[in-house]
Amino acid sequence: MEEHIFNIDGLTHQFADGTFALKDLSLTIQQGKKIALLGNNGAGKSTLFQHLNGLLKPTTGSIKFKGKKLKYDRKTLLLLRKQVGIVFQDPDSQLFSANVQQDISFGPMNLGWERDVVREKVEWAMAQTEVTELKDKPTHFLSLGQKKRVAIAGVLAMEPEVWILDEPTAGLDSYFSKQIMALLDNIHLPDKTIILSTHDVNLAYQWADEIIVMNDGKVIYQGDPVTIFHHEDLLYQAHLEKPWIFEMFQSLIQSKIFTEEDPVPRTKEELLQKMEIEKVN
Amino acid sequence: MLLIDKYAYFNRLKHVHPLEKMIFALSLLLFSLAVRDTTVSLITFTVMSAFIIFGAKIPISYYLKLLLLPGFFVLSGTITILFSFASKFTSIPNVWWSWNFGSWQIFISEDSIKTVIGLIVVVLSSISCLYFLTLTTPITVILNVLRKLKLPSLLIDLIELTYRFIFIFLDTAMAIHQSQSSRLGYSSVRKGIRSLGLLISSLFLGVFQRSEQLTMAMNARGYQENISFIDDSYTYSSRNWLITIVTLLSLFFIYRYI
Repeated sequence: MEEHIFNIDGLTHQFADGTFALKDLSLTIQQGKKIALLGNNGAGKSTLFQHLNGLLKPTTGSIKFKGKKLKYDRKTLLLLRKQVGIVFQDPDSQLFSANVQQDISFGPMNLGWERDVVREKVEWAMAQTEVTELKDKPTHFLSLGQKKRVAIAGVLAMEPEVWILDEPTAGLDSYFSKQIMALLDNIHLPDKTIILSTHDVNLAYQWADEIIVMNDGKVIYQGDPVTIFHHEDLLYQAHLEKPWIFEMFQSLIQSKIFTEEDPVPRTKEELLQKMEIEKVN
Repeated sequence: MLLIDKYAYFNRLKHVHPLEKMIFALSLLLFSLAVRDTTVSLITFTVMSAFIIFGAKIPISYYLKLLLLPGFFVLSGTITILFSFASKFTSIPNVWWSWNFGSWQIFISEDSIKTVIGLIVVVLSSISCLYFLTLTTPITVILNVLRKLKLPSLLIDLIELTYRFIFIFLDTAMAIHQSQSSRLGYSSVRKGIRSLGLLISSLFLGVFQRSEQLTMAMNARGYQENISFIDDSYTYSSRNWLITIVTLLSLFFIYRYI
């Protein structure tokens, strides 16, 4: 049986001004999955993420973490945050210390590790995100892309079991987007769970094991990354486009090059390979 | 970007142990404040300026510009000390210059000239000590030293966050200003004042939003009571300690015997 990391049941979040960010949302997240969270702007993705880290308290409903109902006392929250790392969308709100190395070491120091261990982890995290040469730079000297990578390194160094990333590739050039995605594949050991939100359907389609689509504070789809793109109504509702590989495949079916029975390709390489095979036939 | 901050990170003395720089600057500062001697102050000023310009390689034009700022305050402050008023019939010894009007006289006495010169020199020497520290040592590094000296962590955390926020607000203010100017927000004085008001108010709201986000980000990474980091390791150098001791001793001899 696969273990459940999060069981969310009837979660509602109402802001102080009366608007609802989440409405009676229920969701189960399994351990070891790579999950992409899609949804239009204002669908409640960031609010959901904050709930998963215990940063917000539900107005109604409950969240279970590893089968235990989340309590909002200091001890439980610290334990939760040791295991669940979150990278925020705006790195400026995450980086608060004056220099890069210090900022990355903030989390690991809070875990109470030995200084040598912390130093080792920090150095490893900096190497993974290619920020080692920035280590003595003050955070306000960095460009957006650099800040983003430092923010990711800050969570990487804590080695959480569950990763939550709020639009990790937004604002990065394609080299660093790929770098970050490769990094996520690297850290994706069988027991690690990664949840990321994105507006890039191509990325979600290629990378994820599971796609969750949110709209207006509710989950409107949870399942494999292919089926969702057959649901035109859901796509329209959540302002989603089809991934180009998927669209290409569909039009190739229409022109009778592929058949409906063919497995749907997920990456450019798979698609090209398939076309090569067709050509030979 | 603040130039003074940039120099703190990229000067030639950045690898010197921060404690050495702090002790050097602060001991000279305290000495010149304690003895209040014109010669000592002048020497302190010269030594510090030399270290800033030749040691840390700060451009001389930038250093002079920095000196102008407190210089202005010193001048406006000393003018009131320089001039004195008295009734026309009072006889004053050691008058250097005087001017009568009505039943009053304005005068500059030799004593007040001495006070003013002493004051200017002391101010210059202390300013140069502080500039030496700020131009060669980043705040973060100074804070690390203070942390090691067991200052209350609340105070240090506060300074740290304040420092970081200065730059976030400068950036935000600059971005708002640019977006306003690009939409002709400053095309006339009237509009300019209005735009500035909007800028300040949105910056103010931004403070609250930022602090909320920051609290969240810190909590997410397991923040408990105090902020701790690993710090860079610097090495002590006996040459630097020697420089500090020799400078202080020679200053002391000059003060005592000359």
